[in-house]
Amino acid sequence: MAFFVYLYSLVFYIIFANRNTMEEFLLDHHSILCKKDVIDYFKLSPRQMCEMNQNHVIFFAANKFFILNYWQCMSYNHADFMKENIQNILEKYEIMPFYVIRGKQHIGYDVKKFAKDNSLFKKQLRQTNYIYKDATGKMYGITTQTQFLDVLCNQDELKENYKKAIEYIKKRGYEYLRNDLDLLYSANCIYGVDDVKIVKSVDELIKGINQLTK
Amino acid sequence: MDTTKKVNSKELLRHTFNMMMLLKQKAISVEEAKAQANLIKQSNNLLKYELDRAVAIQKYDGIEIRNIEE
Repeated sequence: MAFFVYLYSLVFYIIFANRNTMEEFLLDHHSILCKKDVIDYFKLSPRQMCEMNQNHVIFFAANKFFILNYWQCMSYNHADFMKENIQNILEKYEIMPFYVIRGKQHIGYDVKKFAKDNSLFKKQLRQTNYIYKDATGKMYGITTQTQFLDVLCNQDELKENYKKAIEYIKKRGYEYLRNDLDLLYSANCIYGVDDVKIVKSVDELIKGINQLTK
Repeated sequence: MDTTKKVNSKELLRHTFNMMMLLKQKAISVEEAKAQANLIKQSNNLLKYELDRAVAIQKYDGIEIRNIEE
């Protein structure tokens, strides 16, 4: 919720907001150094030059992908600027190296023990909201905690939103964001739980309920 | 009552787990839990049938198994 309050109160206007596509925001704010006065040499003001170069980034929140556009004068260091913005949006976050995020995505559990020990469902997983590289090229993710059950149940919706995002970035000509989108998607998928396992887990849970009701 | 809820295996799992938690907290009665467990079992059997059907179609060429809706 805090995310939306931040997003709507501060900045921005939605360029394209439709339930069937992804949402795109513009951070319509210039730095104080970005002056409107024309410099003779360029015949353009720094403001005009800045507005010719818009930056676009993609991030993930509330099981959806968002594109944030901002003027170039706002960031001399793209990664740090976005990191700070995302950190402002999220309430409690943790920064993790990307290989750690990848390692935590494979969920294995014993179906038989499952109804007796519900600790798996109470387990907290990490949702990756933004991926960036540091100066050495090492990848990090800004992550927030979510419940395992929510992550598992939202996997289908995530897949749908991913497909919509691919279509949207093609339509808007942001193909260069595709790599970031793929990384975000793969970082938020969980592996090792298939439909067969889920069906068996439901069976075990029903057995557990029947034992409780006896 | 929300009547537009998605029904798939994952939602069924979420619902079953939530019900188990409610039962443990004694927020629902035993009768209600029993009735819901029976319904979930039936839905789960349908899902199992669908999965077994998909496996059989993959394994054996030209096998004819009726659709669940028929």
